[in-house]
Amino acid sequence: MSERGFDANWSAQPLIEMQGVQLSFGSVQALRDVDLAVRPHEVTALIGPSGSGKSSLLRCINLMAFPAAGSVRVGGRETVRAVDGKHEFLLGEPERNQLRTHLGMVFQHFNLYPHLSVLRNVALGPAVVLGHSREDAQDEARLQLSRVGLAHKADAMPRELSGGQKQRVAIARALAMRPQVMLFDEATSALDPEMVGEVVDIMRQLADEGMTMIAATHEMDFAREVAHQVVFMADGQVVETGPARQVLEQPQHARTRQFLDRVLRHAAVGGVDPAPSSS
Amino acid sequence: MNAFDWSVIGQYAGYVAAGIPITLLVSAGAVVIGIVLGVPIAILRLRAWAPVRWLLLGYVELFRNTPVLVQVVWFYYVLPVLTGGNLPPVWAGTLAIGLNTSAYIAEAVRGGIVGIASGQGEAARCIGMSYWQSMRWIILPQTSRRMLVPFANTFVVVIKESALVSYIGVLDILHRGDVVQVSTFKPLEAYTLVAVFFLIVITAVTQLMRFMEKRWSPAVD
Repeated sequence: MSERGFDANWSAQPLIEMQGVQLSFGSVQALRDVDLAVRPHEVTALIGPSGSGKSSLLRCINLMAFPAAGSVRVGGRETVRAVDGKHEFLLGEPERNQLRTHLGMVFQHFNLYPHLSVLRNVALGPAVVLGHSREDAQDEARLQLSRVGLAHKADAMPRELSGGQKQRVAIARALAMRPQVMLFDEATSALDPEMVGEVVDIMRQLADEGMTMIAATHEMDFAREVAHQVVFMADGQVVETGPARQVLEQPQHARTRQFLDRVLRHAAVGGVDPAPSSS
Repeated sequence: MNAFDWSVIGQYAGYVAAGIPITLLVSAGAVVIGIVLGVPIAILRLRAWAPVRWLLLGYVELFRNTPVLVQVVWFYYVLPVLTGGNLPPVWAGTLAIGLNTSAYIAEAVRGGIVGIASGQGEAARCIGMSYWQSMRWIILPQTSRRMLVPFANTFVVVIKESALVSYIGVLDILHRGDVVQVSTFKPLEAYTLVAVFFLIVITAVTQLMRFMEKRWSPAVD
């Protein structure tokens, strides 16, 4: 991967590692002493109430947020280390940008570029960041759009798409960078219920293809059926981590049981997860 | 009240109207200066070496917190003393109003950038774009579309401010009205002419801007 600048040993295990990560916004502690290890080709589901720190955790991995303590390693290489509120990057700014090309991110509110066509939304990264020619970038974009079943929407503008379609374009946009890891920040939480399925299907498909994924999600079915590892978070802490079945079916902690009871009962009566917006 | 003397209108309308090109020239020049300086100031105020940011903040505050008329007079009378050069009044007036406009445009554009930057900038940074790449490809293109209406409004404001150059002797619409008033002793007719011509100019510009807004309406969802 050194041709893309950020030099990491991507086959080393684990692929992503966080140790003792703290993150605060002013007096609010977003993350407290978080440990996490993600092995290659595995899917990690982050579950927990809104505001429990799932988004913050993802943002520490791609260095959109800087920890106040702890360290983060990606591909075996330490990217940031912090002690007592002072962080030290172990990568220069160009390397941080290159690191992000390897870490695809999908947002709750899609964040498509409204002034660009679907094709250009997806092709822009390969063209501008990876330096591909216009033709190569557009070929890549068409390939990724067909992967999410939206090749026929290449010339549409984002405002002409449904929420589910927007999110699939956003996934294609992330995939066009050929990332090593995909980070999903509540990718289905802003969708109308009938559109959740099409997005979850693509996430499943990616998992089947062996993509390493970390998904903050309220979709318990996805967590149960797709995730290798489930991490339950509350109040900025990792309460419980383990194989999906163990955490979801035999939770060890009262907090986890309480959360699952509430979510699963809600789902059982046909309700839809309220999914308030997270920060 | 004296009867309105239409003969003054007939005699001097052409003379006052001859100030329209100067008024438009000063206004257009000031808007161009305002945009050319204001947009980079906005960008640099968001992310530049700290002393540069402070300097630009000082610039913006200086121009926003002193009267435009004072700025016009200062540039006409004081700048030549400081530089030793001679600045024609049209240039001094255009420059002063232009710099003043740049301070306001810088603040408006900065607001526009900040409004777009949160989600859009994040999406751009997350695929590995540098800050400047995200500006170039994502944030500024969207900002410029959103700025079309505020810029059009700025132009109208600047046309009105341009009347201040009459104070330093530029023969714009207002100054020509002064000349008519002095030579006829008919202020009612003279300044009504001035007001009507400003109204015509500003209405025409507003209509033109509306037409352009429709053609380049922002493609924002």
